Amino acid sequence: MPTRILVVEDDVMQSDVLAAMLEEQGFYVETAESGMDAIKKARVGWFDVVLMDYHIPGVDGLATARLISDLTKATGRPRLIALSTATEALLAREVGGKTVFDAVEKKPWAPQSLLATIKRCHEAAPNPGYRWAADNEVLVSRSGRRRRMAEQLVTMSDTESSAIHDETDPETAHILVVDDDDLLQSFFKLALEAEGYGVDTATNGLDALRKIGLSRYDLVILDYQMPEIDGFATAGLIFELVGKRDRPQLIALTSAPERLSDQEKGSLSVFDAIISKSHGMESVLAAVRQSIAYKKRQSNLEVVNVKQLASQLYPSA
Amino acid sequence: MLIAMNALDIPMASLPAMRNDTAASAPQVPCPAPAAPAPGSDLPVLALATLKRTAAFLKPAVLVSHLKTLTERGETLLRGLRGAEALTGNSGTLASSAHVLAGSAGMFGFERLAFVACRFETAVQSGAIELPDLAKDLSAALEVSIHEMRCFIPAAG
Repeated sequence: MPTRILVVEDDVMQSDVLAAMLEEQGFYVETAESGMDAIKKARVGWFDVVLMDYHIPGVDGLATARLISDLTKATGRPRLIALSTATEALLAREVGGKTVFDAVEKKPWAPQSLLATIKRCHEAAPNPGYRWAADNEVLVSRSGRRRRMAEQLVTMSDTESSAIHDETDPETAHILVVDDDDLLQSFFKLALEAEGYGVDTATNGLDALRKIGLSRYDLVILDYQMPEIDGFATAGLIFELVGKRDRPQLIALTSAPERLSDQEKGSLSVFDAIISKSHGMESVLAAVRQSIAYKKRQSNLEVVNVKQLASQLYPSA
Repeated sequence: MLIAMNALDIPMASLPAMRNDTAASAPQVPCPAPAAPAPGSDLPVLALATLKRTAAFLKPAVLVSHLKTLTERGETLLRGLRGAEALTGNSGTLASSAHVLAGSAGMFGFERLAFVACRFETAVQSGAIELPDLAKDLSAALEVSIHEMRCFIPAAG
């Protein structure tokens, strides 16, 4: 089984040459042009090694590497190698001595050095994920997954399935509050828990994405202005990671909506609601109730549709 | 053409056709010495071994295509550096272009350009006062590197 490598590079030319060199050496290679693309591919690709351009626009190399590291913990973390034109001193300062990378290679890369680093990293800690997935038939086709899902649904009693999504019961709704301000975070948590919702908190976009990777939320309330990965970028990543159909409802909180630029206002369309922090808790709670109710209705509809599909596919079950 | 292939020591099939004899001898021409030696001026304009190594992984047509792109990137950055307000209103864009060029030029053996572009990018990010001097160094490295790049691109038609 060839070593699986994901090349993350926004410059197509550099990506092409690197991929050609690696394929010539017998590696299986996929490429990603952005951090978001890389995260999406790394989650499902069972890669042994990720070669990451450190300076990529949008979600940068460091944030991308942290997310890949977090999101692949359960399935097998790939070795992460940074490629950077920056000096090692600069890189060390940026990562604050707590690097998520297993190695750093200077750009422009030298084939012998890069290949030796890949070999060293891979041999030191091979990723068992792909082999495990292949052995355990986890890598099934999309239709295979759909069949399993349908089979599970038809074996579920009507009582069980209707109990899952109760539109009016807030206890079944789970909310993630993302705000870098501890005070606001606690305030929202208390207020929402008092309403009967299950509430988790995250202090930044990265933390939020990690939690969304581990748990299912009906609603995410995001502070728009956050350091590192802002609310808009976080919302975009949620779309990519969870998928449009399964994504939670998204509410943006901003302290000054009138100050948002035209571009930001346009970008805010990824959110289901935008609320000014100055409007008070009642406005937030009203939007939360509305969003949760919408999400529940949507989920109930999907369960019914998939059950109908399942009974058509497997009438004897 | 044959001279150039021997100079690069690349298998015949993996080399693009050379444009002319000047191009063939270009890699061996010593770089013009600057008045005051700048960091990176001791690096070769083109490291043939690196170009040969990269060319070995690519089909000739792909190599030519990449070198054309590299030339265009260099020319765009050079025009940007020559702009009236290059270092005041446009330095962020120039730094981004320099960043891309630093990685791609180095990959094809244009060592001096890669080094100077990287220094320029770092200087813009840190707001270094020597930025105008670095811009001059980058322009000089671009001019001589673009000349070398063109030597490997067959004339149109």
